[in-house]
Amino acid sequence: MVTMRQNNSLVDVLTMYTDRLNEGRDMAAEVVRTFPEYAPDLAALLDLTRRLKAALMPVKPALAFRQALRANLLVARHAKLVPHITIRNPFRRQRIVLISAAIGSVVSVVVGVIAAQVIRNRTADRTHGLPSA
Amino acid sequence: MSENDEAALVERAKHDPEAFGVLYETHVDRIYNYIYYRTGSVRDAEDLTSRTFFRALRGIERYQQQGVPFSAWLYRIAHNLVANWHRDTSRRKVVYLDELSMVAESRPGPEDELEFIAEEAWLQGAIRQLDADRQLLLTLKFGEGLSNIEIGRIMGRSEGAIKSLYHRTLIALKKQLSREES
Repeated sequence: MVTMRQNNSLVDVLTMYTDRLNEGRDMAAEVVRTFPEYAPDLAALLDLTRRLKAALMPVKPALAFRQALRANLLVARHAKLVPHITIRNPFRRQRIVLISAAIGSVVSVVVGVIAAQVIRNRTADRTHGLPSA
Repeated sequence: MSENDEAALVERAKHDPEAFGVLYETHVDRIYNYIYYRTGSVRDAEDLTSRTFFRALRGIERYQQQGVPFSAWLYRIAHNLVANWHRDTSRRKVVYLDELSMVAESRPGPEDELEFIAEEAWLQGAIRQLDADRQLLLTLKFGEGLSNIEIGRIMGRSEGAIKSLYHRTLIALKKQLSREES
């Protein structure tokens, strides 16, 4: 406890408590007893620290995902063909579909107008453009 | 892995795919963990983790050692991707139903377990309201159990600055939680 007492700022106390907590030792009661001068805030902050530790437990990716990504990266590296993105984001995919549909619609309308104009011109040629005898 | 070993491995990875594979194995869990807590979704964490490493793969030939851990560079890539993700998804919130059922199935037990899940989710939601730097700090501290010196090297700050940032983060979070509770 002597070493604990030497660190006398609240910032240091919180850091020390968190480091011990990460080592698996919860010394909240002892810390509160040792630093009564921080009593109003300290207990609440230590409690918050404990809750954070529980809420931020390390999570790991699924093994299948991990292995598949590694394989994809190595293949891409070997081939020197790195894909620009991996399209797994549903929003991005949806956006691509919407943009493609919009472009397709515009192209269809333009082609339709041109075709109609060509047909109209040909019809007009047949009707009025015949050479007179 | 020592600093020198890592530096040598990074240099090798610029030309050797297997060396890049070793770097990937070394860092994938921590990057995934960081992204998971920034997004709160397994699906998005997998997506953004993939992008982070593909982007690293594309950029590693230009990567220059600057005396900071290689993970600092990966975290920066991940941070940028998460920021873009937040921007893209800010207009609409998507909840994947299969992920909800996965969470429910992974925690057997009745009310107390549900309360635990709710408390955890609530706290994680509050953490996601913090600045990106503060979220990274908490992830490195609690997810990886790093010391302030190690966190400082990754975040490019002094030990004292990290200590102070940690204190301010706890105070801010405490106030935020008090507001929400009341």
